[in-house]
Amino acid sequence: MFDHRDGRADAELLAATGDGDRTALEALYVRHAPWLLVRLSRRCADRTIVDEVVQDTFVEVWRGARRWSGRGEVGAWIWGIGVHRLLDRLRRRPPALLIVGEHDELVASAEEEVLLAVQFGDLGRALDRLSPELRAVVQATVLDGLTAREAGRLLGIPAGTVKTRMMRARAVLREELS
Amino acid sequence: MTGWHVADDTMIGYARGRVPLSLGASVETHLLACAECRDLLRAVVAGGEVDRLERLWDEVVARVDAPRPRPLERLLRLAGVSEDTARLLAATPTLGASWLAAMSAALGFAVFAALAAGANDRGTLLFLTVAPILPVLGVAAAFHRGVDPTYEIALAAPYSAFRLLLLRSAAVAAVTCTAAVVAGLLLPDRSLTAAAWLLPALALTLLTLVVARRVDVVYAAAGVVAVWVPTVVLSHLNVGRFAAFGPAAQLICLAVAAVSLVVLVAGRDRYATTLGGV
Repeated sequence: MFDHRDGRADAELLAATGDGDRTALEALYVRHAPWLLVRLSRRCADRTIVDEVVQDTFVEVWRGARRWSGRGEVGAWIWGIGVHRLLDRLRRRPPALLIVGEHDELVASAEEEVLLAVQFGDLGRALDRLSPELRAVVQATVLDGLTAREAGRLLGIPAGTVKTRMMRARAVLREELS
Repeated sequence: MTGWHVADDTMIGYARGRVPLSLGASVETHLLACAECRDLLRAVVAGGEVDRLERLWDEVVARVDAPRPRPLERLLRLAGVSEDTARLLAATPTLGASWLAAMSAALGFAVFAALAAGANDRGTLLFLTVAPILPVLGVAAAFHRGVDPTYEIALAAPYSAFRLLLLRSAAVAAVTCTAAVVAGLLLPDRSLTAAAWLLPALALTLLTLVVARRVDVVYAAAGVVAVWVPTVVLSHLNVGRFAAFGPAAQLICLAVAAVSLVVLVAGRDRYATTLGGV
């Protein structure tokens, strides 16, 4: 797609974006939009919403580049913007369809099983054995770092339900791992 | 960095949403820190979603290039007004700073004159006469082609001209009336100046809009004012003290407002072309 390669590091690009450098924003987009698109798609099945959130995120990167503290990964900062833009969009327009680990039911390939066993051992398997509802809650709260309320908005369930499911998930994991 | 990288197959599976939660989470965390694996994912994704990403980039550029909305528009957006409506309202010329300044000056003059005349009827009458005229002039100027910079855009836009008319009139009337309410409270005889002119203001404004279907909106406003001022003065002198603001007059104003509204709504299709006396 975009043919240019920018040798600057992410942090430099972000600083340049803050100074109004459009090519820097484009370079950041080339590097970060693809994974953002995929990662958002794993959390929201509505393509229109995902498209809007990707746009919102990079418009926000353009406007808020100066607000980056300079610590940590630029990618993590972008994801932080992205996931909250997703929540904003979902609050305004509840999604027609949510991914609650629907693809995760597919059987993992033998290679992946091996990789899993090596990389994650019991924990990975225990996580993947959770029911789709519990898994979605674990993903939103533990892995995405959302609060119970934000996770509830993302998943379309009350915050209280997020908390009880999280408790149940913890109990299941503890049992599996002991 | 760590020497650990996502295998090609895994990345393809991840991009298609086909890896289990734990592996997906691991990939996602790794992607935040590893430019090499981001490149791999981009190559995997680019196969299927090049057009989508390019289209999104074009829209990001369009939004980045768009001028920053004016303060009024941002305020309206915060208040929950939709984007297009906020833009249209913010473009209303008579909601601009120069108009607001002129209106404040007129009000200030009326208040000053009323106070200077002492706490007598003449001062109160002056205020009561001027206050309902302000929204009339504001609405007239809001739609005059010589004043409205968006006049031709509005004509061509696929947006209901009637809706625009009502929106802008309501916004202008609300702003001018708020200012007049504040000014009215500064006057000694508050029992009348506080609210008695509100119904006349509504009636005159709606009447102006009705007349504007036939003639230029500025002439319509001038005509309505030309009828209003003598009516107030003569009824005050001949019929009774502040007769134009008494209970009977308020009922008449209500009737005029209601009839005008009915006429406006009934003829809403005509506003596509006739506003501003084309």
